[in-house]
Amino acid sequence: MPDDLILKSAMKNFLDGLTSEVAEDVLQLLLSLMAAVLEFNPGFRKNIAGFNGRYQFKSKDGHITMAALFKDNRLEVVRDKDIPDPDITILFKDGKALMGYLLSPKPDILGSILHQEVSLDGNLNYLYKFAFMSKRLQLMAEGAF
Amino acid sequence: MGTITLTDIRLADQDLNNLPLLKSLRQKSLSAKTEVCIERAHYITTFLRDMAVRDEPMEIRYARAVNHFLSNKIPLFPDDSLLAGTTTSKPFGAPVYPELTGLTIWPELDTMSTREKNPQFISREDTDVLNFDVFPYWMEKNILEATRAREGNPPCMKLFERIVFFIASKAGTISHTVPCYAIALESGLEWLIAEAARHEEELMGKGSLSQDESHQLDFYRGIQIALGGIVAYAARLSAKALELAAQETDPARRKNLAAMASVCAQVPARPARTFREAINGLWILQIAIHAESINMAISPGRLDQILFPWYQRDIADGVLTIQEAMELVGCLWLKLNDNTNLVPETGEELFGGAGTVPAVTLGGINENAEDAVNDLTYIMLRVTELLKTRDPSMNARYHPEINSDRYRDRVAEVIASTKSVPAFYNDIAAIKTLENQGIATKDARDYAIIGCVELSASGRSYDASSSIMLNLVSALELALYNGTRPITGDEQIGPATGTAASFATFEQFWVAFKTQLRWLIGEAVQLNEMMGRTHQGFLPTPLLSALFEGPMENGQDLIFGGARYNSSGATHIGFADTVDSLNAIEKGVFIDRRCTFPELLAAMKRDFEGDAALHAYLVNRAPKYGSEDPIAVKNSHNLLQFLYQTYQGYTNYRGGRYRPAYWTMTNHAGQGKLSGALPNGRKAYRIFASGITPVSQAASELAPCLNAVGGINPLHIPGGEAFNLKYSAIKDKDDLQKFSQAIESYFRTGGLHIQFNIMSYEMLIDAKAHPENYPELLVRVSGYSAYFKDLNDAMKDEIITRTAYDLKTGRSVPFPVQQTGMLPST
Amino acid sequence: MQGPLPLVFDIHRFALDDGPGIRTTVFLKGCPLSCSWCHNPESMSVEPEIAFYPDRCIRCGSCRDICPELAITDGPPLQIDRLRCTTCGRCADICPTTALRMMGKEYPVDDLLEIILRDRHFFEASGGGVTFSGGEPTLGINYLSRLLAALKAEGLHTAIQTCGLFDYDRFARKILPFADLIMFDIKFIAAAEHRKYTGRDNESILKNFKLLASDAGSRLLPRIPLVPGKTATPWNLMEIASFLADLGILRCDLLPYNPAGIAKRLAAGLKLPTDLPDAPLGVEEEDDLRNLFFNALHSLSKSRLDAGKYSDDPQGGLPCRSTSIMQ
Ligand code: SF4
Ligand code: SF4
Repeated sequence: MPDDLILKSAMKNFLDGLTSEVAEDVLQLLLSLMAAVLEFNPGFRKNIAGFNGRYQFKSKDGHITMAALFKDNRLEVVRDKDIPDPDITILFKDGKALMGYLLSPKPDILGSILHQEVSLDGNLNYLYKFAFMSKRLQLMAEGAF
Repeated sequence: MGTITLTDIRLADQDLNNLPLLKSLRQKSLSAKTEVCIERAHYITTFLRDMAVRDEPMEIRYARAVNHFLSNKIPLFPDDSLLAGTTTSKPFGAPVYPELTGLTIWPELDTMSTREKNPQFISREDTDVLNFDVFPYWMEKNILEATRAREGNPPCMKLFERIVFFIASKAGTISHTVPCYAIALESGLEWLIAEAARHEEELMGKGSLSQDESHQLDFYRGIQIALGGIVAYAARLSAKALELAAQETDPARRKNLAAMASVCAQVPARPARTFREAINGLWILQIAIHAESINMAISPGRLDQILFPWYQRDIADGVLTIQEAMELVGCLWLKLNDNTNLVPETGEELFGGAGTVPAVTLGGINENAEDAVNDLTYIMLRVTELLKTRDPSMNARYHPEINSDRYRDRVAEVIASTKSVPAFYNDIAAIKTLENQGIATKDARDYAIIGCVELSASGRSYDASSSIMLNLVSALELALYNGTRPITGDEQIGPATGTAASFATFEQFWVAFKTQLRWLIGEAVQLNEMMGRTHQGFLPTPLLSALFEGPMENGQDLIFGGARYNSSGATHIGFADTVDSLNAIEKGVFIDRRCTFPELLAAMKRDFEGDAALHAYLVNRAPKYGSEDPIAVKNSHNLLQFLYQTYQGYTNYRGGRYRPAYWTMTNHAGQGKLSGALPNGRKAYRIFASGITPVSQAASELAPCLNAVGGINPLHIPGGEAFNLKYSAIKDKDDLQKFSQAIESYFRTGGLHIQFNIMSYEMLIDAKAHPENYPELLVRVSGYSAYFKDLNDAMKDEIITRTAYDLKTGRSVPFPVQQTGMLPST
Repeated sequence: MQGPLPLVFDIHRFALDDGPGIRTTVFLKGCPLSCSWCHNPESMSVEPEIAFYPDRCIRCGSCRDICPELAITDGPPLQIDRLRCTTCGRCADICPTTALRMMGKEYPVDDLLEIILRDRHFFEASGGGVTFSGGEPTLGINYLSRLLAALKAEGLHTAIQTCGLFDYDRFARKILPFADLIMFDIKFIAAAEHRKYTGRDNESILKNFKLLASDAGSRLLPRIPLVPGKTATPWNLMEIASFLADLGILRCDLLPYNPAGIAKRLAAGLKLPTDLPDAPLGVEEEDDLRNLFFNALHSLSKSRLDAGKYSDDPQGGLPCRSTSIMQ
């Protein structure tokens, strides 16, 4: 099935990206993968049934600005733009810090608070939901789901 | 009261060998694996979302949700316990409270079953229910986000979210209380329901109602609905027990099931007639409170007093033996261990290893100032000694002038034999402290402990004792750096109170520190008030209110101030490190002039790298809290007094005052990890000292240490304190006697609370290296007990490094040289 | 009282071995004897001393820099020229680690009382009290007397530990009325041995003991330090047993030897006698000697009682925790 192939390659890209040095790209990889899987996998799509969520991601150095808009059962990724009225803004030191925060098997949460790696502004439950979906994706990519 | 008929108060002939039921239940309990229980989350959510009548008042809607859950709650009989009822749908369950903290585990639903530290199992199906069904409903509605939305994401909330300043979470505070079970057991819930109905009718008879009165009306209706749920749950238990009895082939089991069926047919709906009914009735009430409030520190209180009338009657009637009483008490103890908190990974770092801390309080005096120690007190002590389980959190009251030495010695002996429990309280200090809070003498004498160490006039005072956990070191840092934190650079967080170079005297610095502290407290209180009002808006507690003195007469829910007394508790992290840092600044900078203030900060910034002599001076020569050095005594007293006056200046949304306290759970280890080097020589990211305990290895002499801590004015710590003292061993009768006498002496000095770990450095170090050899090692953390193996590494180190005293010399035992790297000053 | 106060070199609170209950033991400097095995050698001299604990030294050099007499030379280990040192104490003041410590400090009576009284609750809860030890606490007899009298007035239990060398009349007037327990060391009966190991004759010590046996009654508690190869010989113990039996005294503490004196001598820069045992007696050996001693004491006193040598009530009844009282 071509859908399946697209997914598989997106997942592979994602896993490679997680271990690559170019941590800056990881957020982009994650969001594209999420968009793709939401598109093709109805089981995963259930996560955003009727869900409206506006996420703003920003790196502290200002290099990365991205947004994820969940609406009408799909995810729209917006690049290099501030979105109005985000439900939550996630400010991170770099891509690596963000991925560490979202996806590390044993997240060093105190460490990330200490080093101010990730800070949040807004409704935390939106982050929790997003983190769940990201984790699930990672597990799917690793074949655990 | 107080008459002892036992021939041997130690009950030495009773042990786990002649109490085989307790032995096997205990084994089961210790090896139980945690499972997440979504039952309540599911029923409450679906009711509120799909079944509630929208235009019904909030009080009624919520009471119906609670009733809906209780009426559908599975009647589970997972073992051979003599008591019917389980807190959750699992043998050992972690319930989910999505309206409070439940959503924090959302990110971990797929991984929490297999995580390394204290895994909590959840099935795929249950994960789906939470992820798709339950959690989405609460995204905008749980207490934190509802407050944020209501208040427009205020600065105090953002401060809270940085973790390092204070934690103000409404979640746990609602349940941090001692309900009044006695009335419900004596009269039955049907009577309470009738009472509420009578009040309702009275109001109805009035015709037109004021807004307040119509609130009252809803409240009385809510009580009837919520209590009806408990009655329904008991009926289900009874029916299920009967059904199981019919299928059971083993005669002993059949008999037990039949007995439970009849017990649950009587209680808690109707008055308890026997000791067994009273205990099981109480247990069902305890379970039921969890339908409404989170499983954090719901404390049953003075069980040796509450249950004594039934015990005494049954013994006199010859229908109960001491052994049977011990079995029933033991079953209750193990039942109180049947649930645990749902803990996400971060929680593990901040609160790891805690049980749910239902506190039981024994001994002391009664309302008429008579010795309240009775046979049941000793039975409960013996059961505690035999079971050695994490919960219930055991507390012994002792009145040095009224209780006997024999009782004190017996409690000391139980501590020596369990190595950690119960915690010990001084009635004279505690009662005086509560009276000073406006509690009537009679009520103060009937105090019990909430959760860790908090004092409460049982069943009459709604104390929300864990409202705020404030990190004193963060205020100190703000004062050192002119309102900024080193880690966040120039960002002005607190008020600008001057740079280190600008302080010409210690007094000036002290003023700056107080300014930061006052500001931080203001923010924390503000957030707590906001959350309190949010809470009032959507989470009433009619069920808990019905099990309290006050709300029924006042027609007002507890969370609206219906209790006879009200307060909010604020506890403090890093007390000893803060005092020692103040001492070091005063002595080192302004008296001995070993360095200038900026030089001190520069050395701290380098984590004392290259400052060996200054560092050694700060560690060895600066005055330490826990000694009788006048500077240390002055600074500790001043800080306590300042905090007391500041908090008491605030009145909470229920009309009660804020009460400062000094217990830290495991937050002192977690917060320590977030803080840089300190003036007292503590290195960066090391643990802080626990509770109100002196810094590890700072107070080398036992008697001065006991005098210094005992010399604190208990009136200034109305919320309670956790003083953790460690002895390396109690080797013989002689040691035991000295141990007991030292407690007596500490109390006579005025000490309020003390708790122990009787463990050597070597043993604890070995237990950290080889946890498999110490599966049941129970330690006293800072108010609650935990299995050592469950603690995170920082917390293990904290317990290991606590100063261990030698009872034979009254001096601290030298810390093992190879392990000094663990000490906070290295 | 005129003149300088005796120096206190340690105040041990929550002490358990110096009398009944939980006690505060005050150690005073200065002793007329110079027992080679003394486990508090810093107590021998009445003068202050500087002690150095090399383990704690981080070699920061602060002490060397501050010493006005240039008495300190860098090590390792650091050296103090004891001939130059005037014990001014400045090095101990500056030392950040307490590797250098001043031994000996003056405490005006009221200051010392204040410290002692801080532990009143411990004394009351345990039936404990205050013990004066040393050194020889009766060296500053007026000072001691005032302290004891004040403590008695506070209703506290008082005890002293003495080597027995004092002027009896003054003792009887100034100490005896205020001491609830007199722990009296007996080392040797044989005069020559006493002189050899303690540097002093024991004639007046034994005489004082006899006087106290009648004047202090049950408040007198003899104690024998069990120094291997020295006091702890069967012969010496038999002699002491005989001496005690003559006086009708049946209780006696046998104190295990404490080799701590060796390290303390090194710290204080004192000469180390060559023949100091470095360990107490073995358990078995000690038990044997104990049995021997108490058997002898009992049979001897019984035979003397039978002989009607005296009619006093034998001693006994005082609480005594550290060693077995009667076998
Ligand atoms: S001052 Fe103390 S630590 Fe420094 S060199 Fe001298 S003895 Fe050693
Ligand atoms: S006591 Fe005074 S003279 Fe002696 S070594 Fe120390 S500083 Fe020098």
